[in-house]
Amino acid sequence: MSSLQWFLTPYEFSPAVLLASLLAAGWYGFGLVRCARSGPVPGAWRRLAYLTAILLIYAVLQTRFDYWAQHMFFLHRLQQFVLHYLAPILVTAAAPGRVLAAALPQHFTRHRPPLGDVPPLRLVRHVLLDPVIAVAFFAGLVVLWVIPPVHSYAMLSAPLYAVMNWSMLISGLIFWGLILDPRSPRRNGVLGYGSRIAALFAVIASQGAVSAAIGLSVGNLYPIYAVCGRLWPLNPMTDQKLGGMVGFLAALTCIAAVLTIFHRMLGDESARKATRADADTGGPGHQAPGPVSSPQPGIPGGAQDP
Amino acid sequence: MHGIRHSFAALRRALGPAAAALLVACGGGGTHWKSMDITGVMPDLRFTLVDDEGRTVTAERYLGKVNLLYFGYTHCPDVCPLTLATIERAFARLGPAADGVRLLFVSVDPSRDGPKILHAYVAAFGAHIVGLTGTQPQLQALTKRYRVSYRYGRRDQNGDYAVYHSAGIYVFDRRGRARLLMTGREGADAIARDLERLLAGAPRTLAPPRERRPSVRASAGACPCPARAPLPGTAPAAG
Repeated sequence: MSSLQWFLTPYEFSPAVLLASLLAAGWYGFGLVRCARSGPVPGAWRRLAYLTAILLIYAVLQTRFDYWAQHMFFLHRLQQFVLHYLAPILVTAAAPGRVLAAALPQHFTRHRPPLGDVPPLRLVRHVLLDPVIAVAFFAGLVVLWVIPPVHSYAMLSAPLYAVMNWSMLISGLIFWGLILDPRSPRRNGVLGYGSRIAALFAVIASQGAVSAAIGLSVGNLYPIYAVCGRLWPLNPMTDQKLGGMVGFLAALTCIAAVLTIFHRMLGDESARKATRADADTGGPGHQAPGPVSSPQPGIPGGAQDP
Repeated sequence: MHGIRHSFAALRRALGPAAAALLVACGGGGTHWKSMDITGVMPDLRFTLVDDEGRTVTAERYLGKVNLLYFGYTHCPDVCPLTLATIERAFARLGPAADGVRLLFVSVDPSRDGPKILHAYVAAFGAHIVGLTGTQPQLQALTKRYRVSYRYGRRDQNGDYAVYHSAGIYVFDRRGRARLLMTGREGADAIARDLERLLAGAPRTLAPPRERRPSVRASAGACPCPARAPLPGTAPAAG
């Protein structure tokens, strides 16, 4: 067996991960074909971001990396960073909503009320996509899975391990879909910029506290890695410190998100001023969008436009 | 592949201990075991291996006693002999009840640990130890089942190499159900006490209420070790 083949063979095959990845890629691909028939398709960077996100999620869950992540704490933290931050942020950056919606049968797209108002989906939207719940879900999971006894059981129990990975990915998609929603809150009634920044600071606080607690701890918090065997004989305290540093990387990502939102806010602000100035002078600038706020009616994370 | 119903049952069983662990973490009292309770968390004892007489054996052969499962190799310079000696001391503390327990020492180094070497090695430690090993696929199936790793180091000029392996001791009840996970550093007394409880048929229930002790910080799996420097058992055994 070649080493590539060895790396690509899932350590623990999960039909759910394989099906979800194929579905996510196939749905998007079908939507792209439909979009191309009726009008413009998203730019190459957006398509690439979407594909990269799916490949990353699949890679950390269904290749040899999964085995490495089970047997080295800092690699486990990297895996969770991909599931909770990196991949969902890439999905949001790809703004795949229009493409995914285009793949739906015509019946659904013409249907009124929109798909998100179908009773079971409405419940999902009201509960899971509620900003307060989504932020609490996201920040709570940051803490939950690294509580030492909980972490030990998650690494020992195969079903609990799957619950951990899926919960991180789903909460990541919901959270980043809300926070980095490309639509401007000025026109679309999506979460306001102030609330987004406040939510990010709540996550920075929990992520920072957890990372400091892990990275600066003088005791070995996770003896489970010695019990089950480390990938190579790395000093447990070094492993733990590296794991804490991955947590700081996550907190830094949130700070970068705050800056992105400030940038959009300023863009929106100048667009509004320009519109007002144009209105005053009777100029033609009414359709000028903000420089950063995407004019695309994206539906991030599969959420439906309310 | 598991059926959906089985998955749900497994999930329910897995979430129970996690919830209990969360309670413990929040200061809700200690578990009654000295080591980590893995009841319902890990699968039942099942394997196909080769014993120290060269026969292919399955787990059924060993049911009826409380079995301890430990992975190592006979060339191991420190961790394995220390752990085996500790377990033997714990068995000695059980007195006649030691006939109800058995340690399954699984060598993950089959190329060096043939039946004869394995037999001589375990016999040197005591009467309640059985040496087992197997082909690489057999060993991989078993280590995957219990989520442990093993890996071979580089060969030196004499052809010797270290084997990096897990430190945990999995304890199964008479019917082969996974019950406890020991780190090997609890000490012979604590191991003996937990084994006595298992032999007495402690029920498969989680963390019954018990008098609070002043400084119970977490369950045994979490952070029992006050040492600042890593102890020998903390790092994977290198030889």
